[in-house]
Amino acid sequence: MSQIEEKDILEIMGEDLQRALKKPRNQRRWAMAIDLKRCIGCHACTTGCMSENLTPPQIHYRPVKEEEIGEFPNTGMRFLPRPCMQCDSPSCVQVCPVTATWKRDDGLVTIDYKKCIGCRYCLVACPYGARSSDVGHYYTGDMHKETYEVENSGEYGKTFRRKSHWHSPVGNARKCHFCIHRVEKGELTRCTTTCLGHATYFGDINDPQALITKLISKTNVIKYKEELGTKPQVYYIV
Amino acid sequence: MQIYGVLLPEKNRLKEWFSSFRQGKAGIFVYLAILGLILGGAGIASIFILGHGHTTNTSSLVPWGLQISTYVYFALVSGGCIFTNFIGNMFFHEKYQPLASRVIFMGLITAIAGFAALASELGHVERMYLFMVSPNPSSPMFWMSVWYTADITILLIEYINIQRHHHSKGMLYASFIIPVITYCSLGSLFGAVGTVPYYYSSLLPIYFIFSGFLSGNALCAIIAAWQIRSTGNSRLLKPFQRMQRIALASVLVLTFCRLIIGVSSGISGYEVFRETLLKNLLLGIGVSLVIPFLILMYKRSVGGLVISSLIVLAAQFMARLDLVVEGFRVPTFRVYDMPERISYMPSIFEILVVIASLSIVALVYLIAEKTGLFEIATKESR
Amino acid sequence: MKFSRRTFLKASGIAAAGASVAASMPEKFLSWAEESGQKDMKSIPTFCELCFWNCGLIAKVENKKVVKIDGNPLSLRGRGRLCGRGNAALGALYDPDRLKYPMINTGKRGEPVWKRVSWDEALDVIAKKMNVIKEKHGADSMALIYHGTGASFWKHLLHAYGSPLAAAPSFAQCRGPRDIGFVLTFGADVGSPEYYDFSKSKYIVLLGSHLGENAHNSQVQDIVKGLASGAKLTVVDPRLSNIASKADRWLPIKPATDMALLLAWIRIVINEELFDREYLKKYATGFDELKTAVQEYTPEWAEKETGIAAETIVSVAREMGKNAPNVCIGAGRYFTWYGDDTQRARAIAILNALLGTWGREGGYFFPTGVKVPEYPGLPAYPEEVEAAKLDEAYPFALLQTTTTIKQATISGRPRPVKAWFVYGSNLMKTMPDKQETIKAIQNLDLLVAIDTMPMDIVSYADVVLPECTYMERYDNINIGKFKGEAEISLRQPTIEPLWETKPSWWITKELGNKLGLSSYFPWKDAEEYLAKRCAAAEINFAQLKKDGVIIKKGGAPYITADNQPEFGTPSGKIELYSKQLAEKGFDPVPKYTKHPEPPSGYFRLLFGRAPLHTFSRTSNNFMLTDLQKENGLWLNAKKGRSLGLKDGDYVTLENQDGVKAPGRIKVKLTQRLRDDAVYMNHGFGVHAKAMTRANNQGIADDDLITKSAIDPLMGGTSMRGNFVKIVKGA
Ligand SMILES: Nc1nc2c(c(=O)[nH]1)N[C@H]1C(S)=C(S)[C@@H](COP(=O)(O)OP(=O)(O)OC[C@H]3O[C@@H](n4cnc5c(=O)[nH]c(N)nc54)[C@H](O)[C@@H]3O)O[C@H]1N2
Ligand SMILES: Nc1nc2c(c(=O)[nH]1)N[C@H]1C(S)=C(S)[C@@H](COP(=O)(O)OP(=O)(O)OC[C@H]3O[C@@H](n4cnc5c(=O)[nH]c(N)nc54)[C@H](O)[C@@H]3O)O[C@H]1N2
Ligand code: SF4
Ligand code: SF4
Ligand code: SF4
Ligand code: SF4
Ligand code: SF4
Ligand SMILES: [Mo]
Repeated sequence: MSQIEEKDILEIMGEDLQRALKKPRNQRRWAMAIDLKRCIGCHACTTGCMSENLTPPQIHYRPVKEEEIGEFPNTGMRFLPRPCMQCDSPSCVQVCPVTATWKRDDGLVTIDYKKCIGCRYCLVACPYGARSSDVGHYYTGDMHKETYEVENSGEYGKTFRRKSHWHSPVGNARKCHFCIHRVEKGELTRCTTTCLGHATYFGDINDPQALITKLISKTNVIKYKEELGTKPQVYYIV
Repeated sequence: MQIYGVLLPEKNRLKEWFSSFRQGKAGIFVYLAILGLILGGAGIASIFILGHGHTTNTSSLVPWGLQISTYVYFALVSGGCIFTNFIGNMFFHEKYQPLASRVIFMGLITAIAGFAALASELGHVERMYLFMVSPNPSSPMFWMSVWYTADITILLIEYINIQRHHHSKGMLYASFIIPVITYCSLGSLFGAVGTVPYYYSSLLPIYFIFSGFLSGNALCAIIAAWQIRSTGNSRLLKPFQRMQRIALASVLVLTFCRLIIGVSSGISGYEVFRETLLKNLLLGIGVSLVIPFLILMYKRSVGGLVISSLIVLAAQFMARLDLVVEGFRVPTFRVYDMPERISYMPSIFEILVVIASLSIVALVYLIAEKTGLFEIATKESR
Repeated sequence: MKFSRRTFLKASGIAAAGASVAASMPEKFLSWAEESGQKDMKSIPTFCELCFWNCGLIAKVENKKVVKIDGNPLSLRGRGRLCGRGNAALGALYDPDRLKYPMINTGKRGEPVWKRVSWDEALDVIAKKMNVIKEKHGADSMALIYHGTGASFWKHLLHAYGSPLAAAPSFAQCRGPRDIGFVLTFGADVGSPEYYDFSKSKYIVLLGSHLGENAHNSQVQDIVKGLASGAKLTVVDPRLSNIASKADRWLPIKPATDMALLLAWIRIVINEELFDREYLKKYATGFDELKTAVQEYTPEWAEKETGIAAETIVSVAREMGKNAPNVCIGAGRYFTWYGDDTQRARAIAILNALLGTWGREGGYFFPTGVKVPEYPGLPAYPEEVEAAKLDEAYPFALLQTTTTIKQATISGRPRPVKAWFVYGSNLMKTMPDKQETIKAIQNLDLLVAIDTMPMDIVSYADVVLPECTYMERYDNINIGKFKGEAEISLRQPTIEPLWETKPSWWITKELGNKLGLSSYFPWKDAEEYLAKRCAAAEINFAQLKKDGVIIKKGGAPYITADNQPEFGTPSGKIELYSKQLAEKGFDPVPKYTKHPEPPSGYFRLLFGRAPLHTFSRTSNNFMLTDLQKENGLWLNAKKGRSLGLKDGDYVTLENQDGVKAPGRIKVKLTQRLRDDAVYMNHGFGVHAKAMTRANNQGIADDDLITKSAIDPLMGGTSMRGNFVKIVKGA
């Protein structure tokens, strides 16, 4: 671990990212690792994600759950940040009647905001509660909506203005998308770059040299609700 | 294809009805249904104009609420009508015959009313064409849509056949098999969701078929009772009493099994069964199933049938809401200010959707009945 | 290195992306072709003011609107990262409830009737009043109470006007005693950001100091790094704080007894000779006096006081000794706990001194500073007329305290204070004893609030000046001292101020002109002011504007043969025994005083930080209220159940003086807290209708803090000596 500490992990992961982007897309496999020993429960990732994706009220792509373990005075805490697991066998994709959500060849589970009929079946089917329904709420009120709320967040690298009816995420399912609009520009996901505990790692696990690949092979790793067969691609280091 | 006299009443009867309607003599229920339709329509319009966020109480925590449960309810009623038709035809033959066209007609309009409730729920209903453009064969919802369409088509054909006296055994069986598949797929739409333990059960498709039969039959029983009252044809009473008893008994068994499995399972998420056990025993089984059964046993009159049926219809409506919503009681991922148990109360707009659906069914049926649509067929057969 | 720096910037979302990779991606499933994602965005660096850590951030601006933000990787305070609050900049900037226009109160203080006025009118009214006050009572009857970067122009105005009375609650209601305790011992304070070398520590001890919840950005990163490289951590806290949950040892101490623990540790370290003999010989004085003074504090005695097992106390002391000097016994930050706080800081400082951690790797490093000269050619401030200092009663109040300003405003002694300027400080919630604060305010001839939000304090103001937020303005140069490097960071506007809000540099200049002080404000605008100051310090202003931060390297962080420490104490040494304290009649070596305990049926009222809020500062921020809109009452689960309380029940609270807090609070039953105290997040229970999201959410600890012991050394006001009882049903 100490070797990693010498160089800033953002720097290392940034280099990993550049390498991955040079490969054809179908040879990459994006994944995230979250070190629960390091997560300090600061919720920076939660609000970082909110501000990156301009998510509306009550839609949080990456909440952090706080669980108490044991009884006073033998109490422990577990902080569990939860992005979308980008499952390899995603139950959300399986149930979507119109293939508005699907798994890309790099493993990313995306939603097409122009195809989603808003049936919310995927919300029901996701075992992680990772999906939310954008019902058209705004923070800054109905009379005076701030531009940043109605304009485009650049999710999926596309233009989806919330105020427009046809090209809008309003009425749709939404979830974490591993900041693919950043990643494909060579930027790490926002929750990774803002993590105060240096607990969030991101990269291409098809690359044996990548920091994340080394981490998940060397450390003790669990996957959340793995028994459901969803094959989540978020690795929790415990 | 003949429209007037088969799908629609004969022109002159329609005209007659219309003028009596304008004179205010169409009967109080017609006007109530129209009022309901206007209010409900306004409700649905508001949902689309103001947006779901400002009108419905569903959310990411309770993604499905009253609108979906109303859809499920009507879908099941519709399926139930078909079973009633099938069983009536198979076991009670000519005793049942006079009611056949009404039952199938009811099956049709309830299916449509259900669809209206569903459509008002979708974030983007205008994109429903995508069911055809980019279907997903692994989605129970996709299959549900396929079978639902097939179901409505079959119902329509069967209805026309009855109206025109082109009886065919093949169609009768088809009108049994296809709804069975439809309601199994509706059952698996819920039952296959491994993530919501309250739904997750192989029992659910069967449970759906029988609860459907129960609620559909109850609706038909009321129509039958009306027919008995207006025509004095009391031969209709027995078949419906008997069918209702069978339906009640089977749903009782299935509900009980579902409860027992739920309560005894240790899987997390199943605690809902435990927490709602008392409510389920008292309301879900006692009031909803046992009482109507007792009424049927001890009050063998037309009145008894009607009261029992009304209770069943109302109770099954609540049972559908309960089934859909209780699934979300325990939040999947509880964070921040989320309560430990999620509660949900439908908004006025959601209730208006129900009123709209109910009014469609009531209005169309009343018009059809009053304008003698179903008499045409019987007249011809004589 | 060049390459990797670039990758670093780029990876953090900062460097302008070159050819967008996304554009070349065939979308397998998409039938429709889609335009590119976001239009080209301008990136403007500035720094955060949602707390005083002041992390560098980069605003992404599109069409004169800030649409996103990112951390600035060059910033030493944030290192590209922003905390849970910092990421909510848009929630502060675009809050529809913001103050929008200057206003004059035509009603009563506390029950205002607002009249919207022009800037000219508002400043005229203030200037006239100030002139009258100066004539009648002298310039130094005017005080400034402030918090935040923007205050520097106001201090300048105040001094130019002729008053020295500038005080920050972040001194006498926060870290004052800590700093004074360290100054008395080492002749230097621990800075802000603090000079804790956590990332290199082998052993860390925290008392209170709930890092992670208190989101001191780089400090949190450092401690996590330290832990990841194997540092052992002991956390002393009645509550299992977030950081305590990462600790090797959590000592759930009985509140108000930290001094007993510290003194016991000092005794063990001395008696078991765990101290750094050579270090002490070279740098410290008063060891023998210290040794004798602490002999009564045995571990067994401390066990009785603190509730921590004697063996544990001994083990921790030995572990400290074993790892010395790479040990950091952190001094935390919020320090006004129980009234003997400066002495508690002394005890912490002494313990660190014994272990030789000052100027050692993993202990306290020596910071690298940088000098930026004042704007050239400013006239000297007028001589202070009045000699009598307000703080005379507190001989070691090295900075002006809010405490004595409030006292003098009420009593007129030692001399009257007639006007308050309150800048970026929500005094109603910040000072103990609200009624007393109101009493002081009612005695004023003028209260001006310079704020961004219609907070509690605003409704007591005569004139309200709406400042634009930190995202819309220039502020003064900001200097951060770190290990081996220092940073100069710039706050600059990312968009034009919204509504009629104005930056402090503009307001003070205009007001200065009206007061006839224009010679003190010779600059054309902030840009010219900053450019001149930068030029004087040989800082490339253009680069500063572009990067937001400029780093100056240099300075040795640790003691080496040729980097010998200097101590700014009278003896020039580390003072384990303090002569100056003895001379003024205080304990030269800290002593244990027993603090009152909650009577039966009552709990001690503890409070702390919410990770997602900064005091009341963020209480109306819509991004943050979306996650936490009210505070909860933490209560030991077993105790709570025995009182018949359930998680989520709403209750009200009443304190030992029979004061009932307005509002209600949700019970949170927890295994994380002792059963003799309750705990809540500070900042909630705002009472201001115009704060639509914050108004009356939860209960305010400050409504229940009617009792406060004043630190006799420096005038700090302790706030954890209040007891509350739970009243069911709300
Ligand atoms: N998110 C966030 N971060 C902040 C702020 C904020 O508002 N929000 N405010 C900033 C400011 S100005 C400051 S000063 C700092 C303050 O942050 P700290 O210096 O960390 O504050 P403390 O009072 O030391 O920490 C509060 C903790 O002290 C514990 N405590 C209470 N009583 C006792 C006691 O008697 N003994 C011991 N050992 N522990 C006790 C409480 O249980 C709680 O966990 O935070 C800063 N950081
Ligand atoms: N009861 C109790 N009292 C406490 C504490 C506690 O925990 N409990 N904590 C103590 C501590 S540690 C501290 S440091 C102090 C801090 O207390 P204060 O000095 O009062 O500081 P804040 O609460 O940060 O100040 C918030 C005010 O600044 C305004 N503001 C925010 N941004 C700007 C801006 O850009 N410009 C202007 N002009 N105004 C702005 C906000 O609207 C609000 O009115 O409180 C102390 N008092
Ligand atoms: S976590 Fe949920 S939303 Fe994400 S891929 Fe898996 S099933 Fe789908
Ligand atoms: S809500 Fe959208 S993405 Fe989810 S299942 Fe329905 S159509 Fe698919
Ligand atoms: S990867 Fe991006 S979208 Fe997903 S949680 Fe992190 S910041 Fe949010
Ligand atoms: S930002 Fe990092 S440390 Fe903070 S809560 Fe998120 S994962 Fe945990
Ligand atoms: S610690 Fe957080 S709130 Fe404070 S300045 Fe840094 S980012 Fe802003
Ligand atoms: Mo503070």
